[in-house]
Amino acid sequence: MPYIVASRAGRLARSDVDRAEAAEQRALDATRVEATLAGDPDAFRGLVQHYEERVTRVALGVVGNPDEARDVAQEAFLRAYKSLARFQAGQSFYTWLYRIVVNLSIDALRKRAADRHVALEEFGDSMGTESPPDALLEQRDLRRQVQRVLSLLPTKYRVVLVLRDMDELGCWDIAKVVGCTHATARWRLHKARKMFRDAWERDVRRGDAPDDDGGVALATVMQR
Amino acid sequence: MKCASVRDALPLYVGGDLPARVQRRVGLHVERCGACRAEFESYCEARQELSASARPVRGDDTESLADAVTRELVGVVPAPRPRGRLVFVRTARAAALVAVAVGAGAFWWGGDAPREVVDESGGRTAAMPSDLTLRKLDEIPPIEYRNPGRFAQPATRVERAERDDICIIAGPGIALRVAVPDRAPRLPMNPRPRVRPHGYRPASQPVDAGIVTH
Repeated sequence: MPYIVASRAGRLARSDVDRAEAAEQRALDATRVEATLAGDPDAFRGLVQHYEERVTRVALGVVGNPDEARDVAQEAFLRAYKSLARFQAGQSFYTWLYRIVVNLSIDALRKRAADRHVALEEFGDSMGTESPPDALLEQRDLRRQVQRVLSLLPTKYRVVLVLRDMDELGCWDIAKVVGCTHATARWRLHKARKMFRDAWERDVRRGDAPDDDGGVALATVMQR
Repeated sequence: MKCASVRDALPLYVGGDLPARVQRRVGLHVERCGACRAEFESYCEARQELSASARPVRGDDTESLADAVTRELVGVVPAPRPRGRLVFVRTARAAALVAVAVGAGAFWWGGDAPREVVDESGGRTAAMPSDLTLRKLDEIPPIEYRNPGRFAQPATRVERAERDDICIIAGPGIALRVAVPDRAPRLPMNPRPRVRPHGYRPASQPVDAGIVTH
């Protein structure tokens, strides 16, 4: 299987590049934070522009609703700005920001825990009224299916899976964001990937309706 | 590796989250085993769909989040750094640590140490227990020795002691009682006086010791 070897080599090569870029980005973030605290209005805008997409993606993966995810992301940036003085120079900004995002997303989930499926059904209508191109339609359909399966996972597993597979955060960083040990983060990731794969196979590929027996399917998956 | 172990490791293998050595062994097994390869490919497919769904989809009419945040932040000022409070907390923490260290040191070196007092009857200087034990001396019954024959001289000067107290015969007619206060914690680090084995007698200190029993 040559692609396995190729992916492994590519991953190793990527890791060095990623590490250097992460260090560079961390220094840039620290500079922007200091500039914001010094009164530079454009510095925080630079931070928002850099993390806007990733933060929204993480929020969307956890809460499952684009409008709500956008609200969570916006609120996260506002909170980060107001408490920016508590950010310590030694830590990484995105870990600190992601912790705010994850906590706000969990709060949003708790608020609408009673009508989770109703919110998911509103997903398609909330993407806009104009007719988008086919590629966008396919992308939105795929995202809708993924969000439907993700919504079957317990929150603590969903958060780890979204951070790792949708945002490509490392397990050490995930542990910092979630506030657990590295071993716990890996264990949750292991369990989450297994649950997601089983639910995906059952509910999407085989054409079952997850809204009807999603709970039963998830219970079956978790018992394995 | 056996298939069961490999399949259990596949959820982490698919994202490269295993330790390098395990990752390599699982990869070698997946290359050879068709069933495990099929399982691996199903994980790959689910993960690819999950990753593909993360690509941004944004309508043209959607306002940039940076614009929205900037608009909301007009007039909002970030809270200042809590330097004064931080200094106070750090100072208080350091002071507490110093106080604990001093207390522990005092307990270690002087908590149970006998102090020098004047023996009222003989006018001699003798080591006596701490204040806590001195107050209790009036309330306890006279002593008996478990084995008086073990002592070189009769302990005439020790008139009151508690059970399990340790007495040291310091010379003819003088017995010193080294008591451990009741409140002393029974920690391994507690400097409780040690009872030497019978027959042990340092050359410079003509003393003997025993444990008081009632």
